[in-house]
Amino acid sequence: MIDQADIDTPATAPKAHAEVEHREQYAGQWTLIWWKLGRNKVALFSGAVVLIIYLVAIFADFLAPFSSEHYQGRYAYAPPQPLSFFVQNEEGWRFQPHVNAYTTDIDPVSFRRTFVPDPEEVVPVRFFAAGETYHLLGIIPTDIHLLGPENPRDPMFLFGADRLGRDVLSRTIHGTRVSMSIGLIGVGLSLVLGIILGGLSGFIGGAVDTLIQRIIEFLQSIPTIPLWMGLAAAIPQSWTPLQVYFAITVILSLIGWTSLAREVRGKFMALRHEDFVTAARLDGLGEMVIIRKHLVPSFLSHIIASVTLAIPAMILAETALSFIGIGLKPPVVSWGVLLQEAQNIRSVATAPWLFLPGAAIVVSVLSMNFLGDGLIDAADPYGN
Amino acid sequence: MLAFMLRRFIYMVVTLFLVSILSFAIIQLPPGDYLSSMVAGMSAEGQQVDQQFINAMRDRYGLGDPVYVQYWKWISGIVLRGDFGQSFEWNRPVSSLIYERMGLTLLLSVATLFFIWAVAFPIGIYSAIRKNSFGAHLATLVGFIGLAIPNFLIALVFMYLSFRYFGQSVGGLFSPQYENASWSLAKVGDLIAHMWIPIIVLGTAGTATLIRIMRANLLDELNKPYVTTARAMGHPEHVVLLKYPVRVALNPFVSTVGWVLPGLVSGATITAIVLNLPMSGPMLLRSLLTQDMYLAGSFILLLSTLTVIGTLISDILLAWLDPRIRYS
Amino acid sequence: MTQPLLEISGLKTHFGVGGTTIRAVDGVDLVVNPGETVCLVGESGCGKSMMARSILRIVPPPGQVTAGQINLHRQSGKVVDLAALDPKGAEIRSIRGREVAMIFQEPMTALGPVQTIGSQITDAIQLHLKVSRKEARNQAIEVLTRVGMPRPEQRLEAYPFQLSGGMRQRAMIALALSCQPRLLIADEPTTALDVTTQAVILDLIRDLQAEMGMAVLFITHDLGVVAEIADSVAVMYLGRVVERAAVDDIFHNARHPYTRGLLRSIPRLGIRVGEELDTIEGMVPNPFNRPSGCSFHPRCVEMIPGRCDRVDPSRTRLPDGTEVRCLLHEPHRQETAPAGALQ
Repeated sequence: MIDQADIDTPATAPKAHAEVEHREQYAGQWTLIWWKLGRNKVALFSGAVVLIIYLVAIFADFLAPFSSEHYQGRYAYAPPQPLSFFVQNEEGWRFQPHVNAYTTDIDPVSFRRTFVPDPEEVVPVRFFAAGETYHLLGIIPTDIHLLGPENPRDPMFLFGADRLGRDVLSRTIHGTRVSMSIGLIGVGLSLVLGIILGGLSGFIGGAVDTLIQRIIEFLQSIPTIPLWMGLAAAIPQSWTPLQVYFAITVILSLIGWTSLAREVRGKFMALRHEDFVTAARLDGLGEMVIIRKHLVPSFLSHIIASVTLAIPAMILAETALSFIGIGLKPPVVSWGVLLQEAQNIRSVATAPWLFLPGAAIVVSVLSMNFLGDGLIDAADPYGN
Repeated sequence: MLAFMLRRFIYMVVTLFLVSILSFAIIQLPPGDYLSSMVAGMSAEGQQVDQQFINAMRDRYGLGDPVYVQYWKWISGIVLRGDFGQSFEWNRPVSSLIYERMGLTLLLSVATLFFIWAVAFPIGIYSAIRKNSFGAHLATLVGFIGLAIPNFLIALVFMYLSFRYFGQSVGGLFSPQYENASWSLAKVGDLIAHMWIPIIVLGTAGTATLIRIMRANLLDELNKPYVTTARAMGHPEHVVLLKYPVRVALNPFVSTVGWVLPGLVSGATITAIVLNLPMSGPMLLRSLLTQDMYLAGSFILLLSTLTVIGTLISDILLAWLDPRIRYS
Repeated sequence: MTQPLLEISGLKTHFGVGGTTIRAVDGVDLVVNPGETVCLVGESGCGKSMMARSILRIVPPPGQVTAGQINLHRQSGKVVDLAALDPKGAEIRSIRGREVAMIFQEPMTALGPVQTIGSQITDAIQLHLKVSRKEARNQAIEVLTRVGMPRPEQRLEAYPFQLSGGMRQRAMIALALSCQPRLLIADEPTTALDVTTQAVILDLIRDLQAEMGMAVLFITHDLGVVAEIADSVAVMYLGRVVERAAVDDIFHNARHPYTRGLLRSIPRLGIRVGEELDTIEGMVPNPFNRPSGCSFHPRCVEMIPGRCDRVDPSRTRLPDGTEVRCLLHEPHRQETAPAGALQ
């Protein structure tokens, strides 16, 4: 008896997919990570934002219309002026970047000044305008700013002015330097401590491990802000801003290293008993060679991801300390220092643009978190 | 279980010892001794300085003695007599200043902890089970933003909004009429009515973190074979989820208390400063700025003790929940 | 002739991944009679496990049963097509664990880690049999005794991590048998165990089967196990059953070149030193990239060039009851070949 069952069409998958499969079979670890990150559009976009923020920090002098100390007292709490690119006259539209000047009223009772943008009076602004001199990248003396008023005495407050008539935008741009670099340097220090102590803990094990683990547990069980406050308050008043900056960085990383150390130790522990490490040991490789050639490449990607996630925590910590007046202090400009201006709720109510540094914090922390998360996912390209 | 608890308890004692050393070190950090500066300050104000009083204080704190003697005199005063020393700025014993503020800090931290759990637990489960739904993506996005906004900024925004749109200040924990009143039922009610803003301010970051942790844990567990087993035995979907993987994912969730609590106490300090709450934060800040170090040191000691005890509780809770820890 | 307990025809389970589809199970036909042991054999990745999960409709997403029928003759005499049921609905749930139960490969992780063995078994009993908690407990002790768990009363209170691998698998079997199912699906239940424990568990399954009269669908890649327990055998390759026959026919008169290849590659006693073990050439093809024609042709030693790479063989029933999917055994080659295939 012959039973003819269903005849299926042969299953042929699209050819393109087969090639992808093939390509992934010989790509190296970093290529795979890059591909996986490339598929995560949010992480990629955030990475671009982070890059832009660091570029802003590097070229702050050029990008900011004014220096951080530039002030025009009569424009205290002046509101933001919208930037327009064209003016209209009898000949029609003409390209002329400008902002509108203010007309000011002084309340006869309270003597408070109110500003109203004056549609009649145009303040011409121009790209690559000459302004205050500075050293680009710390070496090249120049006075060119990306954008500035043609007449340096004219007002141009794209994001408003603070209580002394300083440009909020310029100060926020300058604040990028300190806020972003403190995160980077602080995490750098934490990383050194974390890798050394975590590595020792994970590789030697035994009593050393127990001791270091207890220290980490101890440090992690203490509420950080009161401790930071206690340490930061002891910084002598006579220190220069640079000394204070480094002291704060050291204080932040003295506590911040613990989670990175845990991460390193965890990876060391997990990898130490992996078969490929045992195999390398049986092949007669020395411990340092095993660490360098087998262990470090295996967890480097994870460490990079954790570092990316540690930076925003550091930025938030600096900001919080400076905000309550116990970290960095004026004349240093960091986002936290700038937000001190916003502490008085009455001044914020009249000048909500003082929140701009806060927006800068949120954007940078958010993009670093997204990037870090994407990196963590991509760091293990062999999963899924 | 008993051995486990005993071991954790011993850890706690050791940790508390280290905490006390650290707090003492912070007291010692500012240059000079506070008694001298106080005497100098009093003389400058033209006050009469009683030499006998100075000698008594010198003896009380062991000033001039070796450091370990000073430490011993300080810590034994606290442990044996509840004497935290003298606040030079307030000219009162520290212990008379801190308890109510510490109590309110504890209250706010614990209330926020429960708030965080109550919000993060269901949202975390939801966003793991329906991981590609709109709601889950929304929760992830809101969570990310919550993580990125520092406490004090949320507090500022709250204050700005309420000032701008309701014309009132949200600072403080009490209405004016209760501020200095003694405790009564009405005052407690007033406290609760004021509490929700600091709870939200303080809880946002923690909620965002815990949602992520719960979601990640549960996603891990949902792929485990025992979930398939439970499903293959015919359990309905909600039992398959709640009785097995959620139960397992709960354990790391509980263990987060150990570090959420320090974070909350930490954040409460800043939040209280910004919102001007009658808690430990503003007084700690002030005492640090004026170098009223016994007061500052006592706060740091007590706040740390609070979190260390919280960690112990979470450890014990975890052991009770997870047999794998209890029996190992 | 008795009614078959389970009748699967044309079953397809596909995984849609980003626009492409992986055909894990691609047109499987299978029959399990009451009380019979059917072994499903094949290499890793041939779709055995997904096929088993498809029966209970517990295929993990994004997998889906997309076509075919899974007809189960229920205890009530009713015939249900499991493939047509809602995988989260009440009817399939009343079958899972009650009429068809399953045991899994990983005894380490297949039991919930934070509940005691006892609570997991009594939960299942109470779910399906509607008995009191006390009665459920007694039945749990009984089933633990039956699977040879020493000191069953104490074991009720034990957590899975407190048991050895073999004991855990016994507990798993006890859980599966707790409601006296009529079909037990065993997905490589002995693979993760050491050899002596394997033998014990196999004996146990066989004894329990005889005792309880249930049918067993046993999934394995170990032909030694097949020889020991099977009544009939289905050989799977790339999501299809390529040969189905009584156990003796498989071992002594295998028809499909793939089955013959599998048999040749069993290490056996008496092999001479230096003599190489036969293997099947090549790798299991990537499921994205299934070969045209007979999917086994690139590895087949008896491949007919020009035919096997073009014509997909259909299921042929031979006079002795064996079913095979291979052009070598198709009687009317010209007729079955699509037009133009031979030019």
